[in-house]
Amino acid sequence: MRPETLDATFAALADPTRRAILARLATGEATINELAEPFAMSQPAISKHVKVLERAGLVTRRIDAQRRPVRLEAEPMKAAASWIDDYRKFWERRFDALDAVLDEMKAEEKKSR
Amino acid sequence: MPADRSLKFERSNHALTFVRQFDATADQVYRAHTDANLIRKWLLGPPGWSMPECTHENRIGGKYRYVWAHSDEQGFGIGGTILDLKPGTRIVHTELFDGVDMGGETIVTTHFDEDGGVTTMRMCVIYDNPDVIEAALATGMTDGMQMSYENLDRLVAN
Repeated sequence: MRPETLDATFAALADPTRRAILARLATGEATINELAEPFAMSQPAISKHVKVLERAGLVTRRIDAQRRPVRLEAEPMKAAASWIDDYRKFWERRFDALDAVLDEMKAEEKKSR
Repeated sequence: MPADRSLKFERSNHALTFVRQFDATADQVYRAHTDANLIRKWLLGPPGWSMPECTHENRIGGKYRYVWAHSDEQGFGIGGTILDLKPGTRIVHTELFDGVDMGGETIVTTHFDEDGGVTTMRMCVIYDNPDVIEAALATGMTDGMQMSYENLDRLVAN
């Protein structure tokens, strides 16, 4: 996965509203209007969230007459698997960063000994 | 034996568990989890992200709060209370994501176990409601999907 894709996924999954939108889309496609309903949020705000999800490749929008419904890009179960994968990747990267911090700590302790 | 730096992931009804080894003493890994200055160094996200808030009161009953920000993205935060601390051995804390998170507050227990200079960390995230874990993992596709953990395991394995 390219770093920019990972960044987009990180952003997409980090936000609870976006996770809730994905949950809603798992039950079928929906318009921005329909997605906005359960949230105390404006349509432009929901639209912004959907754009982030689009950029991460998690959802697509199609044109259907006047409607532009949003749908999960992958079939739902596959999306779930990829969700877990992304969540795990997030922690993997954080713990890889922790390895570097631990190395710094060890070097500092050696120096002060 | 060098540390196994892969992240292991286990799942049961009420809990998610991450297992990871580090080439460091249990005391060092523990400190990296309880000292705000050290936490900030490794919890910071990919390039472009910053942490405008990273506080961690290192005592039982203390609060912690981590906030991530990005110039083009909506930021997010996690916070909670430290329930138990045993230096070099164990941290127990509550964890709550900002906003309308589906998971609600979880209890996270992190164990550090050192053997020959390698520390094995087990981070166990416990949910009150077993449904929540499925929702959190499967992005909420519980209604009508009848998705079993077995299905999911198979998919992840493929």
